[in-house]
Amino acid sequence: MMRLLRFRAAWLAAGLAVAPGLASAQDSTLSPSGAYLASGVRHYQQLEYDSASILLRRALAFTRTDTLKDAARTRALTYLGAAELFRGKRDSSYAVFRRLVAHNPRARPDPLVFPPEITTIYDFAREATKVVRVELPRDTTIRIGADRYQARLYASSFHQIIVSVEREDGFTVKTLYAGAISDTLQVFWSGDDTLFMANDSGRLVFSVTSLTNSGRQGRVVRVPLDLVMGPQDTLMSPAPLPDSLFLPEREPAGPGLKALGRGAGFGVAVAVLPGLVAGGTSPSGSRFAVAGGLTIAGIIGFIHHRPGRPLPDNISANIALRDGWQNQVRTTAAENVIRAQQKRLDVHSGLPEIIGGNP
Amino acid sequence: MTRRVLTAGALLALAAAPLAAQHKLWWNAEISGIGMRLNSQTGPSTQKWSGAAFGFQSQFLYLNRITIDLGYWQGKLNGVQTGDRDVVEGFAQLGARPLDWLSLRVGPHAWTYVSDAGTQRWFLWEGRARAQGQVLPAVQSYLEVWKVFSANVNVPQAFQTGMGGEGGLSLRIRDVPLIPERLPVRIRLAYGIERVRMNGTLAQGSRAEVLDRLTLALGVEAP
Repeated sequence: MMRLLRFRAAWLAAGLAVAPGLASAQDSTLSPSGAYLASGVRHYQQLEYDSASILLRRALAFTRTDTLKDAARTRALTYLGAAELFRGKRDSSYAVFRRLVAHNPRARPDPLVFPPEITTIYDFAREATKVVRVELPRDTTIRIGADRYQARLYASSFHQIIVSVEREDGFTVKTLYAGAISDTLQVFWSGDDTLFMANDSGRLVFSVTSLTNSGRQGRVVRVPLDLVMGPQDTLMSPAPLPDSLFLPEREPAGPGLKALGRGAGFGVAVAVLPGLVAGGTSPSGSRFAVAGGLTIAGIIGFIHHRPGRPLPDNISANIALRDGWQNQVRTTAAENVIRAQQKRLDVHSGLPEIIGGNP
Repeated sequence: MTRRVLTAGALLALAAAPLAAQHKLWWNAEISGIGMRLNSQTGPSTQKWSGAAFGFQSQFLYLNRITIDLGYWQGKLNGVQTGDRDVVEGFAQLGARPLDWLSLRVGPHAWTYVSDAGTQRWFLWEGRARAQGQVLPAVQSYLEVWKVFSANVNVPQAFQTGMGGEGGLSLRIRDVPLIPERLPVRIRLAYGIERVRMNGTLAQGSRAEVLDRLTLALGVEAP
């Protein structure tokens, strides 16, 4: 009875000690779990490890919508592990750090913030915890036979793993990797194994099994993959070239008539110029030399630009333009033949499910 | 009023010039020989001279729209049953090129006849319009007309009217010795005629000067 009373009194004292800090930590921008975390860290920094431990545990206890986010949970577990060690509860600290490793294998206590005894016990916990974090693209599309689905694995420490694609009933469709992982590993899946799927859609499971040092199955991470298979998108055939891009291949009437006007027309004007400017005088006959030259040049110009004359430069340019377009059409058609033979696989990865191996 | 109209026209031409088509500065320069025939009719009597003058002419085209034309010639006219004359002629005109085929310009045109009887000075303000175009890839033609707005002449009669015209063609030739290959060479052949009328008293009689000329020129132009 006395023991029960003492225990209640201790909780009450802790609660009273925590209450002012928590009240001061109430910040309208923080969620309740975030406020507990901030208050817990402050208590830790003021060397009030008991109250820090209580506050951090409360922060971690929140569920549903107020659950701490990844980074905040990592921070809470780190400070909780450290607080437990300074409270003299080494086993509890070790357990907290194993939780931390399981939650985020890449997390490390900052050596500038935490003393060596903390990082040391954390290292022990990490070495003893064999877990893998799996990162998959949320939604992606691969071309079967051309692309590969890529998974990135982060290990807490060196251990053996088996990575496979399985059916939902546990049947292994394909083993992608079986071997050691030390820090990170990239695993690829070609997607060929989906060709059996009825109605071109289905679900497989991406599974990563961590083995213990004795070779037994430890922790399994299973990520459901929703798959939809379809034909590869084909390229649009190049649009026909508009007529405006082609140059005229035959001489129009305009240039020939212009040349005739500028030559013969000006020639006639020169011939009659004295009559218009200085009628009644007797001008020199030299004007006929100039008028004749202009007229002859105009006639030659008209013949040079005669309507309907083929224009070789324009014809060559048009041929080059047409050839370029036909090459594009051929290239597109060949690419589409290849694409028609390929299947497209849309992959949506779900939330990971973790089985066993909980620290 | 005329000056205002011309200034407005030049500004309009410059504004209408597409920037992409504007060369910063284009020029040509040519030397020319002119065969001249001058008829001077005063009252019932007519005097005639003929001869040749030599000189140069040049045009600068700024931003493909503004033009400056300069020219200078001097020569000798031989009189028919009258005394010979030395002739010195020059002009400096400013213009605009509102369209690729049309240019307008205005400015003074002056010449002097020097003879044993004295020196006769003609100073005219002219406005000119010129249409030009390509007949063949290497051949261009042009036709130019002009009107005299005012004249200052040291003869007894007063200026009445004046106008003129000129037409010609030019041929671009290549591989001319001594001339750099990058400068196109042109040969130009042109015929022009102009008449200036002057009114006088009954005793002085009216006066009409008609000058026709055949020009052969050789020039270079900016590429």
